[in-house]
Amino acid sequence: MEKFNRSKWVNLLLVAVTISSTFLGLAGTRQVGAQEEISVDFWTAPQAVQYNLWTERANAFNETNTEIDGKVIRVNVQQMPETPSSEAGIQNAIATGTAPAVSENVNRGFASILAASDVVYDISQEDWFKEVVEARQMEEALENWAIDGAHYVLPVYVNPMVWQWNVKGLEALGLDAAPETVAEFQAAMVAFGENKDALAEVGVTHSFYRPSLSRPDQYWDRWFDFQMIYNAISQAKPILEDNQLVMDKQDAIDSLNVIGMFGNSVQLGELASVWIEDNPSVLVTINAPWEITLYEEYGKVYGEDFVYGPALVREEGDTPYNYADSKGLSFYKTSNISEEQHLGAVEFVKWVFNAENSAQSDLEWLEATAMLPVRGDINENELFNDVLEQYPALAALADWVPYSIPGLATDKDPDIWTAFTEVATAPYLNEMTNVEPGNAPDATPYIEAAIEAMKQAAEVE
Amino acid sequence: MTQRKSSNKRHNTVGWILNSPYLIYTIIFFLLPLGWALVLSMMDWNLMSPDQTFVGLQNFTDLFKDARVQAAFINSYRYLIPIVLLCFTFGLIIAILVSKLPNKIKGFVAVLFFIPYLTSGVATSVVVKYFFNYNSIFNIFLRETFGLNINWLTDERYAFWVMVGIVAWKMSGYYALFILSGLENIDGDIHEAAALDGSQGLHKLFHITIPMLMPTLTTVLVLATGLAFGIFTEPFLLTGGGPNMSTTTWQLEIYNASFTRFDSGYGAAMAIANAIQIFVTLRIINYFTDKLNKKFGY
Repeated sequence: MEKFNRSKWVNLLLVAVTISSTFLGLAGTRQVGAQEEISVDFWTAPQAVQYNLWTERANAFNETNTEIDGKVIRVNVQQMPETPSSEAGIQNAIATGTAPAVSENVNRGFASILAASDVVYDISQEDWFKEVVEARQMEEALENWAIDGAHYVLPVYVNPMVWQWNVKGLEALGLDAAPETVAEFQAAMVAFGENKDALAEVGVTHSFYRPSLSRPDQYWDRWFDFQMIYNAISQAKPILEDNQLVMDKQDAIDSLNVIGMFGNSVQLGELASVWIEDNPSVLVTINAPWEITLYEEYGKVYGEDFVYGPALVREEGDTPYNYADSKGLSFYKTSNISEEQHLGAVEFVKWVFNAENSAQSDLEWLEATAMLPVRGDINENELFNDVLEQYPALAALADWVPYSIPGLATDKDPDIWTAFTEVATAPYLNEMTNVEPGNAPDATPYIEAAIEAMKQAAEVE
Repeated sequence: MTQRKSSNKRHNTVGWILNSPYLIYTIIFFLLPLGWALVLSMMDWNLMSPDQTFVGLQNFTDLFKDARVQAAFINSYRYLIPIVLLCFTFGLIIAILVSKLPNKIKGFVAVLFFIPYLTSGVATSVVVKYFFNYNSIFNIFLRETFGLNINWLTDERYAFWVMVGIVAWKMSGYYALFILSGLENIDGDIHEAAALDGSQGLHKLFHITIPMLMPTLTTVLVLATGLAFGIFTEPFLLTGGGPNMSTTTWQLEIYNASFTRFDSGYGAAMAIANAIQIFVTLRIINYFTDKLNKKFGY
């Protein structure tokens, strides 16, 4: 009796194992009707607008019934998890064997982490990738995306990060245009300290809004403030190269000094929303291009309410290099993704960005997200004219795309900027908030400490 | 004899079967992750790379040199003292006040005090963020009436106390329910006898009520200690652990190491160090509360 029971249990276990193996085996390839299918998972950014756009594209692609070895490719679009962060969602998916074949929302820093972990494909030598690069005329932009000479990301969009100025505030200071050089900026800050009454009349109480200067957990904000300033002042000198921290010390000091010039007029208290207020209370912020549609909703007019100013350069005529907030697509190379699924994902991306479809796809992207697609012909191609006319702020940003530099190509990027915030911007704030605008305290000791901390964090010389 | 053995065996089997759901749950959701965390803590691994480098105890030795870990270690005690005191005091006050209410509304009022506990930490943090916003009515009032311009969440002197205030507000009502239940269990005869002996007001509170509540208060103390070591949502959403790491916690640092810097092995080592600190602290607290309970005859 006992023997019978034991064999019954063994049989049940075998049945369970067989059923689960069958389901697992069918996860990649399914037989629907007479035709076998290759199921390809595509993860979009957590935002609904991106999910809707990619779903439409996937549906259109699925209707083409594209085949690989007689099997039809079916692209399934899902939103990547938003918590704890989209990057952590991808990490979790890779760790648990549930990674998609391809996802968007990958920046250069995260791509470096993925590349160092050998979980993404190098696409630089793929013929289809070269065709896409040619179709989108993105050869120049792509140079800044290389990681150790390879390419792990197909860039989709780019937001040049620059200064966003309050036009009424500038007028109260007697300025008819945003400062372009460090000297002009310093003069504006001195004027800020001297014209507080005039500024108060237009609602401006603070020069700069940046509570995150003291928050190491928001290390990414150092890309947008410090790195943006450094890229312009140093004229695009690298920060990290060949496993060495090569950040120019004097340029870094001058860059932190720019932040120091805001002095005690910096706004560190939280504000609900700066630019949709009737009278924004700050003179300048770092721009947030993803909010352009929101400004339009609130009736804010580019040139009348706010205006973008270039990253500050040392001398007139220097190139206003800035920071590229840019993300793209990566193809995952993990054990749960079969060769067929990878090829299916490639077919889908090829279809979206090939010579025939890329301009239309990028136009749809621009219309849906109001973020600039990574294309060399964005200002010349007539297809984009209508949208750029609708959003003059976008057209202004498009001019700075050629000078936009994406983040560092290192898997230690979060560590580097966390350390920088801890030893440079956060303690420097304590000193700068004791001085009047225009009189930056000496940033030298903070940068010296930052260089050591960054080396330690990045484990480089 | 043989029959008895067989009956015991049958009872044992039934016991194992009845306990199996909990045992399986414990193995899957407690023992396996704990074992996995121990293994992970000895690796330099980001959970993604095929290279899983075994580093022995290096992650643990690195903890001693890490300023963030030091801050989390110290902050856990900085949080512990005011949170336990405030939760304890407000819990006791709320419970005593509610216990004096007529039976008809007692339950309803007790539930009202329980609501903050049910409110999500995220929702509370969002409300607090708006409340301490530079342009909030509260801050405008402070500026215009007293000339006070306070950056509540970015100034080291205030941010920590904002965190403490939120946690104490959220949890006091919850602990009050424990204390209220303890109060209701004190026999009316004891209060009567105390009154006959002339014990009233604060004298009765300190010499009758609190000693009678000792087992309940011990539970509250242990729970509040655990709470103080587990703070995450409030600093995560409001301060990020800053300014100058003054509000950081173990949970926040574990999160940042594991999911922001993708240093999962180091994050696991932090989690184990945190568990050891909680265990040791609770043992010390238990030692003293046991002595106190013995003193009062429990």
